[in-house]
Amino acid sequence: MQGQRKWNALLLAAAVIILLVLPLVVKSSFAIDIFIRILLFSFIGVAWNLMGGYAKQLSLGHAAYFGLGAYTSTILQIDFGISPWIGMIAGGVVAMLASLPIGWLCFRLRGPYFTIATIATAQALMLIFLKFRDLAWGAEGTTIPNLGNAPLMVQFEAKAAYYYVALGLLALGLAITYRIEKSWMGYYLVAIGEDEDAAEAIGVNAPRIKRDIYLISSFLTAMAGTFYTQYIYFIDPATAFSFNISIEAALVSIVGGIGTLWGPVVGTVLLETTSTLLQSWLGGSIGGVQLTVYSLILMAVILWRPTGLMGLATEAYQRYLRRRPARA
Amino acid sequence: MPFYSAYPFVGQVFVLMAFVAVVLGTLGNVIGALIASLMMGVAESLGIQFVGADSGQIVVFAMLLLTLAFKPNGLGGGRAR
Repeated sequence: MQGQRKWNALLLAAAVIILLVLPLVVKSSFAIDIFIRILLFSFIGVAWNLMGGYAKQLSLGHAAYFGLGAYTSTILQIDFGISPWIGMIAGGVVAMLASLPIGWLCFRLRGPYFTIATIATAQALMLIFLKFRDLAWGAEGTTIPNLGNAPLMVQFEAKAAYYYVALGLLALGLAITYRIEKSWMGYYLVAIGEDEDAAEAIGVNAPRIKRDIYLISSFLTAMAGTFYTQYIYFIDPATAFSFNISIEAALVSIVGGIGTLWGPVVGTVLLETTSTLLQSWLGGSIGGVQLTVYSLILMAVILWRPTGLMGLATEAYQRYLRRRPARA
Repeated sequence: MPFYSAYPFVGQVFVLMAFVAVVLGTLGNVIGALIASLMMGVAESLGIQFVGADSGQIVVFAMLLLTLAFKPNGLGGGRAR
């Protein structure tokens, strides 16, 4: 056990060093863009995984918080000149406040009823931002004013800086997940995920736990929204509240392994790299064929490995341990 | 009568509304889904008339959320899951 712990720490240190050095070695901005996307979607997946993975509340409405975070920071920046660093926190707070009524409504529902209710809230929010132009900029959206190199306003000339911000966000998300996983809250969440009625019967205050984890999850998702808007310099309801963000958040976690610390990261690395590589290999020859191949890979993973890739890795590791002669 | 043009993502227009209809009318209840989808059609048309041409679905989602707030298993009732 002691040895394994040491190995884990070494592995983690190596991964951190590689990730920190990566943008210094890789100069292609296309590659850096892919890395940023991987980090960002890993982060969204990690935020989703807290609730969708550990407590098994299959939400497909996290785009609501992504969009709220994006809009809060953008409105604060453009209308009041407040730095998006503060806007990021403000967006998180707005998302937390929004998650209270949404959670109150949705958590009384189970299974597909819960899922469809979360989708409905995200879609309704998108339509509200489309419709009521006084609130924001309506359907046409707006561009973030380009200030050149302004680190205080989350604008950088070098792509690598965005990379480090995204890396920091992911590290924050993983640290929070790790803390929760090791605390009493993690056990409560898993108990709720396994069987909510049984968990309540033994004294877990399920509504309170679910509300708390939803607060944390929505806060983190909103931070991702702020970052994304600052990164692409543009915001409109269709991208900020895109249903694809909700899907992606759930998908990377499911493919990687729900309810595991590293699952969303593994899932995003696999899915994002496959889709990008397929696009550059096949996209030029037959239009759309990369999406077909991508979907087939997705189906294969979900059909044959419902526990996700982390499950696969764990099983392989356990087989290896069994085969090896036992030593003290 | 063509409503939508044929394009690869045209299915997404229907899949969400179909899901909403089934859940609104209680899963597994065929008559419930029928009634729910009729209600949704009327609600969306009313929304287009009174809220705006681009946001008729707001009314549908509001109807869904309100219904689930009072009847967590949809309109079809039946046993709780």
